[in-house]
Amino acid sequence: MAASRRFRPVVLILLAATVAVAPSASGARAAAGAQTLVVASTADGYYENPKLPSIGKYPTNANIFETLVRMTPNYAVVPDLATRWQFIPPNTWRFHLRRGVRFQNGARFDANAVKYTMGRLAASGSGAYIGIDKKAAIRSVDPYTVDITPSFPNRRLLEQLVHPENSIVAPGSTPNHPVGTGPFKFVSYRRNREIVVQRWDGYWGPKPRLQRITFKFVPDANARALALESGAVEAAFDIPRESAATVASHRGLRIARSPVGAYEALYFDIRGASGFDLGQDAAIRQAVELGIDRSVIVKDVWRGNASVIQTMIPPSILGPYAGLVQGFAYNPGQAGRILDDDGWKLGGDGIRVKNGRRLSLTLVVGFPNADIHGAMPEAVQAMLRQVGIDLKVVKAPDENTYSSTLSAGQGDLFAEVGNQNDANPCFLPDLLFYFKGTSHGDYGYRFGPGGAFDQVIESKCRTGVSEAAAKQGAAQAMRILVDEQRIVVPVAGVFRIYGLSTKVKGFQPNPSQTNQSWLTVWLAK
Amino acid sequence: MKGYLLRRLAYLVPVLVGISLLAFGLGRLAPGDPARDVIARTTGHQPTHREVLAERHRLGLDRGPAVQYLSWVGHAVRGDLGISYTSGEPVARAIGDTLPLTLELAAAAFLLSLLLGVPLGLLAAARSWSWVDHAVRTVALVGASVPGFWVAYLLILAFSVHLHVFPPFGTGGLSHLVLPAVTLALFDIALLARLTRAAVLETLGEDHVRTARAKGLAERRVLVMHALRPALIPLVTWSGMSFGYLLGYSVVVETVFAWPGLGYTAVLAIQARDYPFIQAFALVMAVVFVGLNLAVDLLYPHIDPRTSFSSAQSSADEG
Repeated sequence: MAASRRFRPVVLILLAATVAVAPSASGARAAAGAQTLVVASTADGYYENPKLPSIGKYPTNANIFETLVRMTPNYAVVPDLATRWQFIPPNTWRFHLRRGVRFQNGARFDANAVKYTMGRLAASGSGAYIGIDKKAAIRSVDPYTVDITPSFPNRRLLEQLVHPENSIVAPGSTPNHPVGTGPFKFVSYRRNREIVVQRWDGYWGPKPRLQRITFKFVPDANARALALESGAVEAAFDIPRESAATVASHRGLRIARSPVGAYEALYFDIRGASGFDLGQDAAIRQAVELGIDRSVIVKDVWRGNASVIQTMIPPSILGPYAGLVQGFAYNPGQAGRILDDDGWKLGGDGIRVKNGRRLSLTLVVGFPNADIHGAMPEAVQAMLRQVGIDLKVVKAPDENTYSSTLSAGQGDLFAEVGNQNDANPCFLPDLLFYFKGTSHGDYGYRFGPGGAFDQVIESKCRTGVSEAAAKQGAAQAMRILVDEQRIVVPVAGVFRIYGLSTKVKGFQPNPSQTNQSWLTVWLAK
Repeated sequence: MKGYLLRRLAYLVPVLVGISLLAFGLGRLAPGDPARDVIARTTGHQPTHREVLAERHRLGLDRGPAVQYLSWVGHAVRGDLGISYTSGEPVARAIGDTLPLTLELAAAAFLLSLLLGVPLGLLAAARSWSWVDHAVRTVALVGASVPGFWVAYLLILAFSVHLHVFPPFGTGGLSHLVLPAVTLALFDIALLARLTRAAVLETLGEDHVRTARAKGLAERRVLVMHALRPALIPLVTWSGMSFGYLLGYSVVVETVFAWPGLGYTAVLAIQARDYPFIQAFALVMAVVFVGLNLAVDLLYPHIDPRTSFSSAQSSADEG
């Protein structure tokens, strides 16, 4: 009793301190205004390149900027700062600009602003990938018409310009005070903490209903979910799939899932050196394809937040040509027969053997990190064992280690989760699988089939002018990769998972998080 | 004391040279290529082999290791720690922005561990083998065993989601500091309680404590003045090391609580092979760690008059 009396003042002091330091959260939020939204975003990935900083643009798009053309959640290209456009052979794109648009600093948006932006893209190096470099020609036809001629024949420029990195910036704006034409204007940015924007009343389009948005950088996915549950934020990006059901069951919260915008896939190294050369055997590639029950992975690993897809490209981007890729169904019996016919006979331990060599593959997991794949590697390992294939799983601790392992060819299979952030249907097949001219460390060298595939990329993707030609080319390219060469095993088409307060209305989940619009969003009372 | 201080500061030079060599070498031994990461970060797409080669040239990574190291050291001694590959901002500015936050968090956790760990250990020693002792030791065992990130989630769940008492993440005031500081301190509280208990129990059996009791001193005075004070030397030594541990372990806590300190920024830098930041981080941490241990050494004579700077020096030399 004496001891408890002695400690009583300490306990009282601690309690008083707790009450004193506890924030009056509700009061603070009420004072901030009814149309003030706080979003838990992913880690701060902004880059302060003095020639063209990415603050407010990419990866967290604060809607300060706009692009000449914009991408809908279905990956369609629609007008934004350009109202129409045309291709002028051999390699020029003419854009007719929207009139009556002003930047948030009051300056007029016109062809000079486009020239300025393209100049910054070229100087920073960010535009080299799409042919906007020092050799590109940008010409004002008149104040509201501009011609862009990339440094190499680039028929996909239009679809690439939707990426927020290619946003139009105000001439003369300073690196750390971004100025665009978007519905929200910059207020403040603190590295690794937050970026704050507020409504731009001079916006040319329908006025945003939100007064202010604060994007808080919360790198830990579980912490984002908990922040949403605590009421500290009203929206959160990339809720962990394991928490989605819990968040949805929480009173006052809901989950919004986008259409497929990301994918999980396995790639076979078809040019591996000794020790990692089994990917050169087409029968093994086919057996692996047939031996994986993707519906189980979608249900148990992705917890239903994905769907079984036949290509790694979001199906909506291929449009009517998606059917060109047939894909495959789970058939372990056929997988076993194919291996039998190829001379791989079951050994005493259940693993197949041919000429004294065990059928043992190495799966490298790590893009963008190993965690995002969850238990997929172990699930695939168990499934392939059923058909007599031994799978060793190597989990790279980070993306750099993964890239290094891939460059060195230290694996038979490589697992990746990737995104489609622009409207170019050929983006992924061209970037990852085009073989001609590649070096040993490149994706194209490891995974590119060459021959007919490269021809499709060249004839349809790179020189086909119309969007339809690109879609057809991308579908044909995926057909070669999945149906014919069986280099790519699409595992799952992944939905983006956004956590929202039920007060948040008008939110249209975009499969590309960096293209997420907040223009139509508002808060119910 | 002045001479001792100067000698200790002189030791810092070879330590920093060694640390800089280690940080430089280990960073480059890790697999991966920062050029690839920089392109992906600035353009939003995976680079081709040709682009990577061009970026390596721009970053100076195609030069020999010795040239790179000497160039970096040459700039560093003039206060130029380079430009961060991950953010594009000067490294010195990034460290200046983030180090105070980590120090604030570590200091709060350190204070908590002292305020709770020492009294708990003392209480357990005073009531050794009683239920109080068992309870303290059990709590300490649990505190030292549970992973920090798990504790962090539990605290957020309890105090942010259910009780709405503290914010779940971020900086902004004392209220934001509570949960990350408690999470960070938990392991330290547990260890300090056990250490204090062991040290005090050892001194309680010594002659001077028996004499003090025989003289009829109050038990509280015996405990604090005659048992705890001699036990302070190992506790202070451990505290210097502990603060270094708190700085290092803050990485996990900073990530979960979106506390934009030096640890969290260093993790991003390591993942991206941001050599300028990694090297500067190692140097700064070495300076802080050496400085803390120097401060601890300077404290010894004040705690125990039997120690002097000459004996402190000889013990440091032996260590």
